[in-house]
Amino acid sequence: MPAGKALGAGLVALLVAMLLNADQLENDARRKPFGNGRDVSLAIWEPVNDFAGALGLTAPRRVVDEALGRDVSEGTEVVAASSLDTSFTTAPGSSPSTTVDVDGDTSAAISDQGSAEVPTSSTAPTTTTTETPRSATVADPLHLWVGGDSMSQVFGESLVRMAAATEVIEADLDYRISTGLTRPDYFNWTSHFADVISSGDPEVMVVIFGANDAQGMELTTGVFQPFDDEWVAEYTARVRFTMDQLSADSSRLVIWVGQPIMRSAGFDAKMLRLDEIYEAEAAGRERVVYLDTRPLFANSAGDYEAYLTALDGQVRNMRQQDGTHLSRVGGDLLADAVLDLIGQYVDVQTVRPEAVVEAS
Amino acid sequence: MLFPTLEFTLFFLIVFVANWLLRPQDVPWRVAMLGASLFFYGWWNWKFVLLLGGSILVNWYFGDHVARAHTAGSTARAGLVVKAAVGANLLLLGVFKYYGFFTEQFRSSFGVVGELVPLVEITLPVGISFFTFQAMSYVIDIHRRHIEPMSLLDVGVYLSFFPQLVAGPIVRASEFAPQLRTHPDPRAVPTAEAFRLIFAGLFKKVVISTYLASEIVDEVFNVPDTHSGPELLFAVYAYAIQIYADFSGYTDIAIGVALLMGFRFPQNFDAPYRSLSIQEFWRRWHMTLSNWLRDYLYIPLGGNRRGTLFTYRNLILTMLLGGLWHGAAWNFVIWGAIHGGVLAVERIVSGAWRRRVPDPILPTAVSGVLRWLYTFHVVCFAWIFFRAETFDLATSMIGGIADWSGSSPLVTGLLVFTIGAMLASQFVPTGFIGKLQVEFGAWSWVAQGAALGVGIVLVDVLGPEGVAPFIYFQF
Repeated sequence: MPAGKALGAGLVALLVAMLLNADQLENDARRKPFGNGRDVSLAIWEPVNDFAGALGLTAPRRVVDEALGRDVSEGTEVVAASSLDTSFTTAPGSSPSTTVDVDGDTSAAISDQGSAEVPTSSTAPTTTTTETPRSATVADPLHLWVGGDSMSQVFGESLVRMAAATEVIEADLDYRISTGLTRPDYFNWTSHFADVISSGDPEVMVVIFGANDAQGMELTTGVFQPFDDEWVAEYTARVRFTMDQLSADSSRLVIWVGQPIMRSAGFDAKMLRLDEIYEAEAAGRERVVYLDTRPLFANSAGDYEAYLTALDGQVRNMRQQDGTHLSRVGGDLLADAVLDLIGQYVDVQTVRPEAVVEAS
Repeated sequence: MLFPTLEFTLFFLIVFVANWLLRPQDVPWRVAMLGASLFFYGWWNWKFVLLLGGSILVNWYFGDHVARAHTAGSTARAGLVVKAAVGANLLLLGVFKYYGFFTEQFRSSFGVVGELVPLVEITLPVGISFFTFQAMSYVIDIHRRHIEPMSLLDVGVYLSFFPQLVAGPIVRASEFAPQLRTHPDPRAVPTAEAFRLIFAGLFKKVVISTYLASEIVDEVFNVPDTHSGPELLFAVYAYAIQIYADFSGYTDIAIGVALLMGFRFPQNFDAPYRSLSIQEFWRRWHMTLSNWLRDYLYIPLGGNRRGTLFTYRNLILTMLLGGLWHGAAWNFVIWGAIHGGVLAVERIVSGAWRRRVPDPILPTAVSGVLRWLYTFHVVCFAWIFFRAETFDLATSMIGGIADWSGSSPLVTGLLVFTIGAMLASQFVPTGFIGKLQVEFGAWSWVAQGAALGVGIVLVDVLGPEGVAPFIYFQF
């Protein structure tokens, strides 16, 4: 085929793919970080999608998506974030199991995609923990859930493996890459947590967020960039909301893992600010424990260091190539710290105490 | 810049037009292709471009000096220059790929003395193993008088050519240089073959590889202790298919993209899972690497010319280094050792068997099935070490496979079907695929384009969100 016609065939292929896939292309554009790139993408794909939709060309993909059981709902827009100062200060409700519809007046920003019923802080009881620590045994193991953004992948895998080695902790890992608390339109952790709690009712929840959160947020009052006053207020409200949601059941322990120190100074400064928010919000809650991971992955001077002493006593590389994510030995180190922390709150009668060391 | 992205699509559209418009003019075409390739590579990290540029310059210099030494009649000097070139390339690879690994080993073995060696966090440049191997073959082939030295611009285009830059196939200068000198016919772009390869590659990568990774492989390999024997076993099978789909998918796209630009790259995979021996497997798997190792390592080591024991030593050594080529970890060494050891055992056993039992004792079909089962499972066994992050995780995988108690929710019907279908695809006659391609080639350009467009959407629909990097990028 002549090169000119080959080019024509390629353009036809792109045109066909673009029109049949216009719905998805617009969705992808919508999920980009707020800024010029997203605006340009939307300016391109919105009219294309309108045109393809008018011709019925997006219908085949929707049919296939539905057949595959995928969510094909239209709404991904953030609908609420207005009354931040009052959302989480209302008096405790009557029962921790009560659920309410999320709407713009009573919650942090939640996408309408996630308008499933979720427990809110307004229904969470004030916790008082004077009970005897729960004893985990083989017959009655402790149910642990670990999850969050991509930072929880490697460390979560280590935690699941090391928890299994104790034989008294059953752990589930549930990480979602590229997610966080700033973009519920991308992945709605609030509604997901509601599902996790209602289906599994874990006794310990270990979460890590933040690595993807230093990006713009769209509120009803506009789009705010990271660490603007409005942004900080909204993000803090979301952290508060999530902590309340997770700790609504007073028997549940929530371990909020802070972001480790990062190689990139600029990125690290952002993570430090987020860590400060997590720590401050956890400080007021008895069943939410903040784990500061910065000392764990810093050298004696408190600076970023990839090579540190691993659990086996050898100096090893704790980080992946990007200087952000943890390597396997780094994940093991953090998981070990989390297990230690759990041991302070739960009587983990390990059947084989040496198993944890072996597993690591 | 990953192949299955909008960025690459736009990049390639521009490069495609520039390629065919500029092709009749040698220098502008070369400058444009070099610039495009460096832009493609710099998309990951612009600092890597400096490294690639340095490699181009140094290897051109070495190649030129080897040729000059030959012209001056000094074979000894040429040999020295070749050794320097190989040393420089291995040093580059050693620093960027193996420094951390060897430093960790040294420090843990030599205590206080070991601590004198500084630990430095080094970012591994994408595709360094591929372009370094190509660079070495360029200088060695000049020394062997297989090729003439190329101009600096040609070496630049050769080493940086974007379709194969980051994950192969490993194209030798003797295969690339002649294509640089000829001008392909712009009226005969093999679109049917190229589109078929690109679609097949996208499907294998985006749909098959990603599905298997997310459905079972990642979870089971990273936390084997919490899974049942059937899940462990099927995770191993799934990984065998995943890495094949991922790597052969990439090379299919690379070969297809190169075809659209008028270049024909060597085949890199030939239905490897239909092999009836490990020797055959290595004739079908990552063929450009196995041929490279044969020609530049196994044969220079002596090959099979210095007796039986030396042959076994050379086989094992070649595969050990082949394993280490993939990554700086003991698991890759073990993977290479398994393949090298089995290759040696196959030679011993098949030779002795043929002498003692000249006539087959089993029907051909039965022996074929048994040999296939043996080969596939040896390959799968070795993959456990290749994929597992640590030796302990690999042994946990192996130890747990025998335990068939407990449920196996990850072993679904769709998973078993996917693995089975991919294995069955290895036995599809190439003539059948060729016939389909000829049929497709008879379609008009509009119909071909529309079919490719529908195919792209199909891949997008069936694939999960986001595209994971290709497995072989890390090598």
